[in-house]
This record gives sequence, structure tokens and C-alpha cells, in this order.
Amino acid sequence: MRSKLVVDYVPEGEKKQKNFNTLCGLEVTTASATATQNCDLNKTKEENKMALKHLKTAEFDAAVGEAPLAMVDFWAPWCGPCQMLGPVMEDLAVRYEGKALIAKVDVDEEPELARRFGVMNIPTVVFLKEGREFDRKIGAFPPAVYTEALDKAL
Amino acid sequence: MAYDVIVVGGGPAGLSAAQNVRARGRTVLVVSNPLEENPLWKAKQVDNYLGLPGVSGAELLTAFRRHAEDSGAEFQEGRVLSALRSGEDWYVSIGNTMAQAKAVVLAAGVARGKKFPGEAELLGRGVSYCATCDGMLYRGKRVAVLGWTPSAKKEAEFLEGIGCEAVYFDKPRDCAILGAEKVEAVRCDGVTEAVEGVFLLRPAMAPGDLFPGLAAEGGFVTVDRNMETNLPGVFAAGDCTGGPLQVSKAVGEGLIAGQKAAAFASSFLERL
Repeated sequence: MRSKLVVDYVPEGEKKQKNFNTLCGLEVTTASATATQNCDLNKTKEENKMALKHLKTAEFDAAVGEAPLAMVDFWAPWCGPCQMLGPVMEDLAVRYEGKALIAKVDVDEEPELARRFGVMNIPTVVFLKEGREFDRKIGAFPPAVYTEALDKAL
Repeated sequence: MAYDVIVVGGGPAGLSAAQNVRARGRTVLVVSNPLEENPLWKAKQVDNYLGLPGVSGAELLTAFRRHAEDSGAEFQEGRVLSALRSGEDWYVSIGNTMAQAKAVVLAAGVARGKKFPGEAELLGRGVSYCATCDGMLYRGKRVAVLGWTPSAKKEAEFLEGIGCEAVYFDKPRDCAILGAEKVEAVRCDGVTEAVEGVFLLRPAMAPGDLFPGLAAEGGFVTVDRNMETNLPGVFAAGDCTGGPLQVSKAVGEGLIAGQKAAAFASSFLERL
């Protein structure tokens, strides 16, 4: 005996056009534009954005050298895991304000810095004491992984 | 994009979970490879799915998918690369995008294949799991792509398109990634290629790599009767929780995981 089921499957990719949307200020590609935007997590979004520094190559050494402790997130806008880590870094920037410099470097805009630090995967988060690297985390991890590394050095 | 539940995997367990999340009125995103890449797609005849003897794997999958789509589940093609919880949300990265949800159902099947020698050691020094993330850092360089799915081939084409010289290994069995400080070469099934980067594009990331700290035993995710894992808001269903690797078992577990994940997500709404 053989049962029959109706087969008229059209692969998802052929049905839907990809749309560009913004999510919490980030441009993201999603399969659908119907779900509502939700930025509740970033309640202190404006505040967070101020605490988090975006560093250019020219200002990098001075900024990181002056800081007793720094955490730098090498990222790029086209990278999904980097986008995921974005809100975590914004949150940590507020929590460690005055204690550590929390910064981001766009590897697309600052390729020399990325090369200098041998960044071959993004996100890569580098920890520095007075400009000297002492730890790095490759990939996106829960906040506790970063706070642990920071707290050990404080 | 924010959902109540994200389901990782679009096979019988994942589609059953998605349909059941929708039945509870919650929103759900299913992230999966194309349906034709599911191992069940190739099964000519499934004889132990109750009431439908002799049905093909492709017919079953198609019917499951249509049911989930009709119920209002949303779909995104791609591979989940990593997940992390911040506050009360799970953030999940899918290729070059991300989505967030209160609960996650892991239904990505059995992650076949162990890590290759050199893979863990050279991560971040030439080993990558994401062509769209890291490809730009390898422009003008020679890289190897180890692919196990047609989607992986597309990612190799993407790397060529942005200016990498990509050497494609199709479904390699036995590989070693060579190099001391950084990747210098890769050897697969007796063929050695000098490369500066190796992209490993398996059908799915191993559960423990996706969710650091996830409890597992013998390669299978540990779950309780509610299909709940040791991580808050993370449920698992189907082959990834262990045998028997059968459709009925996957669908049943997907139902429980979907309902419990929907309830978990709802508990946040009730508190507001």
C-alpha cells in the first residue's frame, strides 16, 4: 500500500524577496518585513551609544594607551554574529563606564588596524591593559564571558 | 527581527515545533537549510509513520512544511552560526543577519562529523565557519572551502565573487588543518592544498558550539520531559536529543518543545 500526499512545494527562496529593514538602528536583511520591530532591550540606547567609542586608526593608540583597561570589538556591519554582539557591547559600555574603555573598530573602514591585530574572524574582541593585549575572544559569547575577562583585570 | 520563538532546523521536529508555537498564538521563525538538503528528503519510502505507510521522505517533508507555513510560521534560509542570551532575549545570528526571541527550539538534527585535527587550535588564525562574515578578511588570498551541502557551494561562489581564490572540497571525509601559528595548508582525503584560510561549512553547527554550556551526553542534547535543556528558554527536539532517529519521535518531541517554548515566551508577556 502506498499513501499519497500532495506535493506542490516551492522553495522559500523563490517565493519571497528579501527586504531590507532596520533593527535598533542596524540595517539587517530579513526574510520578511512583517514582524514588528522591537528595541525594548535597548532602553538606554542613546545613553549606550555615548558610552561606546567607535575608534579610527589615527586615534586608536592614544585612546587605548591612555586607558588602564580596554576592550575592543573588531566587527563589520555585514556580519550576523557582530550584529548580535552589538547590544551586548553597548550594555557593557554603560556598566563599565569610568572603569574600562569599551570600543568598537569597523574592520571594513580600518583594515590596517584589523591587520595589525591579526583579526581573521569577526567578531574578535581584544582586551588590552595600557595598550597591551592580554586576552582575546573569537566569536560572539554571552556577556559573562566578557565581564569575567574584564573583572579579572580590574 | 524579534519573535516569540526561534526554531533552529526545518525538519520534522522543527516544523512540528513551529506549527505548535503558532497553535498557541505566538510568533515563530524557522531557520533552516533548503528542504531538499534535509536527510529525510532522500528517503524513498518511510514505512513506520503511523497511518501513512509507504510515503516518501520528500512527500512527508513537503506536507510538514506546508502545514507549518499555512499556520503562519515564518522561514529564513540559512545556517545559525551562534546564539547568546542577553537580558531576557536570545540573540541568534543567521549568516549575515540576526534575530531575537524569548525562547529557542534546537531541532537541527544530528551534527555529523567530529572536529578535524587543527580545527579548534587554528580557530581565529585561518579557520572560519562563516564565509559572509570573514570572507572580506581573505580577499586576494587562497582559501579552501570544505562543503557538505549545495548551499556551501554557493558560499564558495560568494568568496570567489569578493576576490578570494577558493578551492572547493566536496563532502570531504578525512581532513587535517595544518599550520603552526596560522593556517598554512589543508589536507583532505589525501589531497593537500596550500591555503591561508579554511572555511568549514557543515550542514549544522554542533549544538555545544552554538550554545556554550549546553548539557549533552554522548553527542546528544540532554532534555527533560518538557524537552527543556539546562539553558533557560532553550528547548530541543528530534534527532539532536538522541535515538530512535525516526520521524514520529521527532514530530512528537517537536510538539512538546513547541508548546513549552510558546509557554515560556508567554510567561514574559503575562508579567508585563
